[in-house]
Amino acid sequence: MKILKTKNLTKIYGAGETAVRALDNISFEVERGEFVAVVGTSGSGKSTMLHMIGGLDRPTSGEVIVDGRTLGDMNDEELTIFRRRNIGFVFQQYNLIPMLNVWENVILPVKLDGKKPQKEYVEMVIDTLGLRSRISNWPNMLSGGQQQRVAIARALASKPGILLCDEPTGNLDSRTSQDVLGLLKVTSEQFHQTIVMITHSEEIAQLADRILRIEDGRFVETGMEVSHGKG
Amino acid sequence: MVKVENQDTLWLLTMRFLKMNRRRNQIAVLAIVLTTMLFTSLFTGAVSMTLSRLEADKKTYSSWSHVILQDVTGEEAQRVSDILKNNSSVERFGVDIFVGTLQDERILFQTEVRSADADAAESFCNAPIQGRLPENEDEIALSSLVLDALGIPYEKSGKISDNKIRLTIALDNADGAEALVTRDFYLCGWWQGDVSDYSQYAWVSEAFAKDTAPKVTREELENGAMSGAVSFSIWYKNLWNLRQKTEELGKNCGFLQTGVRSKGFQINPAYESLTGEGGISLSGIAAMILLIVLAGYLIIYNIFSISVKTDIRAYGLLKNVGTTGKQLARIVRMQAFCLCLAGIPAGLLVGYGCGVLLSPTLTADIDSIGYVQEVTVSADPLIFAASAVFALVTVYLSCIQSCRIVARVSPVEALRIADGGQMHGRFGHAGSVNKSVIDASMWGMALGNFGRSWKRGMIVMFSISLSLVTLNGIFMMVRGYRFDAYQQVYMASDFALDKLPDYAPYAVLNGVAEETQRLINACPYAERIGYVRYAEEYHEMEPRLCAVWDEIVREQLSSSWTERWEQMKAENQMQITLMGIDCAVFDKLQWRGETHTWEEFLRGDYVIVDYPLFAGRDVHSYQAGDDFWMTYQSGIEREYQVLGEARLPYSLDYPYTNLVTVTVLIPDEEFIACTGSAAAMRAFIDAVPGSEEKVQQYLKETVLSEDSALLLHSVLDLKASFARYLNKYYFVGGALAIVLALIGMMNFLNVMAASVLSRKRELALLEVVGMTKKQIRRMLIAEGCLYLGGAFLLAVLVTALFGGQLLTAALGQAFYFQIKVTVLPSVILLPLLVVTAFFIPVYQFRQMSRESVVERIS
Repeated sequence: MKILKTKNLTKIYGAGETAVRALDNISFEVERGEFVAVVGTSGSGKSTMLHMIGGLDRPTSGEVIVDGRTLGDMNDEELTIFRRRNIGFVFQQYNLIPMLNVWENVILPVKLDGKKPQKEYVEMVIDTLGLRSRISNWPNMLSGGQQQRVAIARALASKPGILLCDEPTGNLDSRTSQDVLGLLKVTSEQFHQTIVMITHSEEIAQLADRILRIEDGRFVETGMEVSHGKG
Repeated sequence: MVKVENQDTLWLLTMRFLKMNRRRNQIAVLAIVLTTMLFTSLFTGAVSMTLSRLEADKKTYSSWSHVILQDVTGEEAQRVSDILKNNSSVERFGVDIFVGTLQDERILFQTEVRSADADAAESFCNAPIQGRLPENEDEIALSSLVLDALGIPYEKSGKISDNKIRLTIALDNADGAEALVTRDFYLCGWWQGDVSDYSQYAWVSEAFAKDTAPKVTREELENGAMSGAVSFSIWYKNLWNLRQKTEELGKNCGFLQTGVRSKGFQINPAYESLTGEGGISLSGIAAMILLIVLAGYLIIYNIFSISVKTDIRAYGLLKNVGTTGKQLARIVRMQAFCLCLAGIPAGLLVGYGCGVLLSPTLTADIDSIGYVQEVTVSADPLIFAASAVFALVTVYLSCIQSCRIVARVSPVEALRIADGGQMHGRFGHAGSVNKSVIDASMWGMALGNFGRSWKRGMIVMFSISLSLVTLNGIFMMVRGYRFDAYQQVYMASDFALDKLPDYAPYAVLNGVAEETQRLINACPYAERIGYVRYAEEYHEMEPRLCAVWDEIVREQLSSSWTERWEQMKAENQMQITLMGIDCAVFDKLQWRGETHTWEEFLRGDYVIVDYPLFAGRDVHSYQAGDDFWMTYQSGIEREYQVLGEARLPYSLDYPYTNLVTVTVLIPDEEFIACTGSAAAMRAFIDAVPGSEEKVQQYLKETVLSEDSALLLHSVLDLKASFARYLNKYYFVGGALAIVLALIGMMNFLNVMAASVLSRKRELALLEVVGMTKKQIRRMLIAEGCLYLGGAFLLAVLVTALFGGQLLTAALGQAFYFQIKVTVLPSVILLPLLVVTAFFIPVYQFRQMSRESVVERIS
């Protein structure tokens, strides 16, 4: 079952001679529970694509359909609400809310939705990510790896249909990177979580079930199954 | 959309944002305190001013109740009393019965004898301050003025005299004959009499009144009988719909169209004039409210817009994880609300204190009689409620824009900011700082920086120039008042004595008795003493005079004067305002056409006649050389010739409105000979320059102690009260300008701080590439000078272009007010502005420089 579909996704910045085509007719699909990596060099348009499918930005043309709903049909308010219910983000910069502690950061999307966080589930996520002893710490008291784990926990807390990761290990040293990636993989399997991860590193991309390559806003080869992927 | 229950989360975020912005909170709370304070003192001042005026008016109209019903018969009174008792809007009412007037040669003023209950005595503002109202037939309560006249001692701390007082009361009966009743009374209470009251009062018991005053019928009342007439003083529960309630009451009691004497229920003019002309100026208050809202808006807007822009990343991240724009706007509003919660109560308290302190100054009005109005300060909860609401509205308006900014924050933009791309605008990315920028002049860079946040800069300029313009305005206003011009019109001399209060029915038109004149004439240090004598006479109209006035009345006067004229025409009698003048007064005449000398005036049988005021220059009642026949009421007949046309100056003329009359001036000796009266309407005294104090002392000690009912108009009192009046503007305006200046400076401080902090990294980079600290400081000072210089120029421009119009619009055009546009106060403040422009940026930079360049750059 498809959870994510894009049709002819195009994003153009600027106009006239200075116009830059950041995304050019991108169409692809992601199955529920799939772990997809998008690989590309800096400026290839991979982050722009992630922003479009996450509903953070709007395409110049084309469609994004998440869980059967077309993002382009929603207004900003609806889009925000849809996002907090269905999409989780993990960014290179962690982007934790500086004035909230770890626990508050993790449950924020759920609380914003007016729901009570499922304590057992959130605690399980926190335990899985090894954050138990840190839950009352402030973001600035944590290391980069810890912050990124909090970001992952926050993204998972609302049980999103899809988890979008933008260079999740870009700011981490190699050992911590391994930890975080391992956790992502575990998460994908344990919670049967759909993940779309952006990275510039081929090595990291190998962790995914499928790798998409993007260059100058276009996919160069698609549908490449990673050899060790799930059958 | 489903309503989501996330109040807790929003509160949590609000509290955390508040915690994160301690410095902003302090400034914002201070700004809210100042704004609320301005509102509260404005409202307290305005309400106190109104109440004080009300108190003064109540005195003028001798009535403290809301409505009065005068002169009804005993039976009617019973009916009215029953109706009043059952009327739900009536709070209470007092009843009094007129008995007569005191007849005693020691008492030289009118004293009415009435029976009154406590409410009625209160309504007359003559309730005993010691003792009580009479209960037995032989008891009486009197005003201190009557006691003084009778020579009966009284003292607040002492015992009430228990000697018998023999008094004679003249009854005013239906047949017009005055019956005299003489009785012995015991004093049972007294109160402080007020010389400005039209009549003094003597309270007797109801039993005495019913016994002595015969029962009066409606017919007798309408024929002029007074004794036995019952009057009511009524208080409503509130002042809403005063007119409607009173009309209804009249309908219920059947007093809508009674005879001429009793006009049914009458509303106390003091309450009716509260909001009408001469009441508080609603447009003035609206203008002040606008000014305060503007001042508050300018700073609170800037505080919020700076803080929201500083925190924009946090707001963007929140949007990223699913906080909607509406929720973000709500978080900003809730922060504002929390700050209000701290600021408004403090502002209310401080403002109320200021209002109380300001009230005596606010109530000061020019007045030559020199009594200082009593001040009534109000602590009505409505004042606080209104101030709080206005402050809240101001804050709400001020953060609308910030709410809009956070609601529209783009989640992607927040990610970019998070990536460290804080700098945009002229310098682009930090990396692009190059040598050419450093080479640019300090002013050029400062201008560039200003351009980056020009909106914020403009608001600071507006905010500061608001205070400068206010200051200029106050200065222009106070400088514009000219005492000379004012005195010339209101007092033609240094001192004047008369019994002419503002309200015509209370006037005594020949109040300066011969005996008093002798005392006045003996006044040392007087340079000149003059008298104006007045008598009402009638003159058989010549056909020409009749024709002239027929046209004047038809074309110039309102219909209310027509009836009077028609009556005069029917009788062919023109009313003559006869004035006897002496040399001193003669010298002040305002002539039309040829002027004449006092000697000429005395040489023959001359009169001087006034010219009709509102007719053209070619309209004359009489012209020089005309014959003028007078048959005086004393029976004396005289034939005069008109010497010329002239009017007395306003301050010496007959002081009440009479538009259909010819004023005829004759020498004082002729006046006394023909009218048989030497008493004067008004005496005036010019002091030897520098001896005003001594003359005033003499008049007070010698003349006023002889006749305490005389009103002394003194140039000293006028000056003092003029000064008080001006002080009001100095005080209020000065305070306003200071608070506005404070707000402006806070705004400047805040913006400079934000400007330095937001460029922390950029300034550090400039240092890295070789700009010295001194150079940076100079650039920042240049920036500060731009803000304050702009504010100064703006203030000068606004004052020069619109100052005159604004002041005229606010104050109207008084003849004693002349606007001279000046920007002097702004110029005087210029050094202060320069010092501020220097120190604040330097201070901010020093604060920032505590961190090393490396720390700032990372």
